[in-house]
Amino acid sequence: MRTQVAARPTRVSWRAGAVALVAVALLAVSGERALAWQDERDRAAGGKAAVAAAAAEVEGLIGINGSTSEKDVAKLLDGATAGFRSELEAQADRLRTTLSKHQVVATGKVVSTGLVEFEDGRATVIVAAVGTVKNKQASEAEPRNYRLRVDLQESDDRWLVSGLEFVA
Amino acid sequence: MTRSRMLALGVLLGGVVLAVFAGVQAHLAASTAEARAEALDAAKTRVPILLSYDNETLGEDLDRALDQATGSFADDYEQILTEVVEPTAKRRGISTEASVSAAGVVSGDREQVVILLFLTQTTTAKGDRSSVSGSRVEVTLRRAGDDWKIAGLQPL
Repeated sequence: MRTQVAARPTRVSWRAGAVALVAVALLAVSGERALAWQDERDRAAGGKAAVAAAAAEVEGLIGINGSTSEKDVAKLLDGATAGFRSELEAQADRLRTTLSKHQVVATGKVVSTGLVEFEDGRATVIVAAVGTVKNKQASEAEPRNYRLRVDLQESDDRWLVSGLEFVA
Repeated sequence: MTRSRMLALGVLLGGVVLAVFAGVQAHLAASTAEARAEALDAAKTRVPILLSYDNETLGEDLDRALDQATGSFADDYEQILTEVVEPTAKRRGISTEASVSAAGVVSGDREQVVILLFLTQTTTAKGDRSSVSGSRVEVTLRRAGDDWKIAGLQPL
């Protein structure tokens, strides 16, 4: 009887210790798995954001024509990295002058996008787009199919286009 | 049961539930990412086989092409192959080869994934020069056992 009374508190604290240990272990596992889950969700969201940025930039580009406003060009430049921006800037001005002279009207719409690669703040997206191009000589707008590969970089939580090429 | 025991039980149960929930969610998210990567690879290998044939080995090649497809798409494709492709290819001596110029994931879950492909198709008819054409297609892949097969193809 006396030994039981004496043993009881130690047994309880041993159990409490075990419970605490298991609880901590479970919490650690939960935390690790929750981080892994968060990681995957971040990746998925990042991929979506990169694809959306690529689609917006392509739509802006293939729709450039003589009546494209400064604001539209500014938006286009805003979606590009510093390196690609200077390239675009030089071409956009020249392009607009030429297009305006020939009264070119261009429209464009993205029909599908695919995520090719996504790693460490870099992404590659392919974009399929359709558009029409009409100039003053032609009576009917000519349909165009575009196949583009767009490279993007993440900077300050935004995805910016760092390169863009037509896929032959 | 004493209060402290109930408390301990509650803590442990809560811990288990939390760990299982986080574990399952992480697993689901990871296997979705894995499915998309697997389907992308499968599309790059299977679509060229689906769309290519050599006139010399026509029967064999069309069987192999059909083997890349699954479900009702396989039935539809078989009909097209036997009713249109095979007789036309025989008559005009056509061979064609499709290659993938670029591929990316459009959308997908663990069972079904849509891939955007830029294809380049080189076609030769007997006595003709070969012609090259580019196209864009959305291909649906569906999990078939351990593998992914083509369950749909939509030109854009």
